[in-house]
Amino acid sequence: MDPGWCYSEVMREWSGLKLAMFKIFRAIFARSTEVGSRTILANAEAGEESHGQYYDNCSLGRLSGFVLSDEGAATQKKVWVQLAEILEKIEPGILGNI
Amino acid sequence: MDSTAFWKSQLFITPRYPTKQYTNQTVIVTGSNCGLGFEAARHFVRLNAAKVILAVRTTSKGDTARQQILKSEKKDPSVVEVWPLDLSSYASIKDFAKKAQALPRIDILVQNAGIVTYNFILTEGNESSITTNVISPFLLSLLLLPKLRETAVKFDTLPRLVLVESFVHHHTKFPERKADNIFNELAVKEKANMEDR
Repeated sequence: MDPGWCYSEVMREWSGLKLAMFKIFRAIFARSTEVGSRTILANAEAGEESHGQYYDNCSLGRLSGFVLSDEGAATQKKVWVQLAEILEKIEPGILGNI
Repeated sequence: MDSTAFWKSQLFITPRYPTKQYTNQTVIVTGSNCGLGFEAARHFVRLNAAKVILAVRTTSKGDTARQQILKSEKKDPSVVEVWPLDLSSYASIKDFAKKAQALPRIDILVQNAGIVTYNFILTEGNESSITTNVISPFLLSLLLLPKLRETAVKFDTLPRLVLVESFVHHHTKFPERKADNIFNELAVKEKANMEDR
């Protein structure tokens, strides 16, 4: 899910001009973190129809063109296979949890 | 969503104030000592969750967050707990998951913790933002999945796993997808474009 643009410390490693410009935009457009957190709650109470879906704010969102494309689907499979290998190395048998 | 929709949503759309109750439920929120995770945890406490666990990297910050939540929501101190969780360490994640097995139930797992960094460093053999934002959440999710299932069966409920991500995935080029091994490619410092991450 995506909570929109909120005030938070996720950019805490930035500095200089980038940070200054970011702060200006943020002051105008960003949501307070409390308001942003409401999207998390909305998704926590969503029903079965939300399973595996991408939510933007509090409603069903649109994934990027790449993710939805054939190449995206192939990449998704590839990433999953490689991620699964990594996870099995960290904790053998973990894929049995799915 | 496209750019206009994004800016419009930032200015004009306000998510509604949460009112659903979480009575008897156990909620875990990662990255909850500040920001979105903190406010989400505070909502869950306000909405009468039986247990809210702040899973944080720095427990002293977690303790401060816990005090702030208890002060504003005036619930029993036993409702909020602080557990250490460092998503750049697989050992930390395994310890956390082991401890979580002893909970009577887990109803909601909010994976909110994440990092945005322009410095390329390796943690657990991969670039740090890949470890923290990709591998570790999956590891934690899969380790806790049996507990979520057990909760569903035992209490006849629908546990939730919420992953906080970002619409900026629309803008990521992700050239590493073309490599044979994507994760190894992402761990090569010389080729890393940290802006794209």
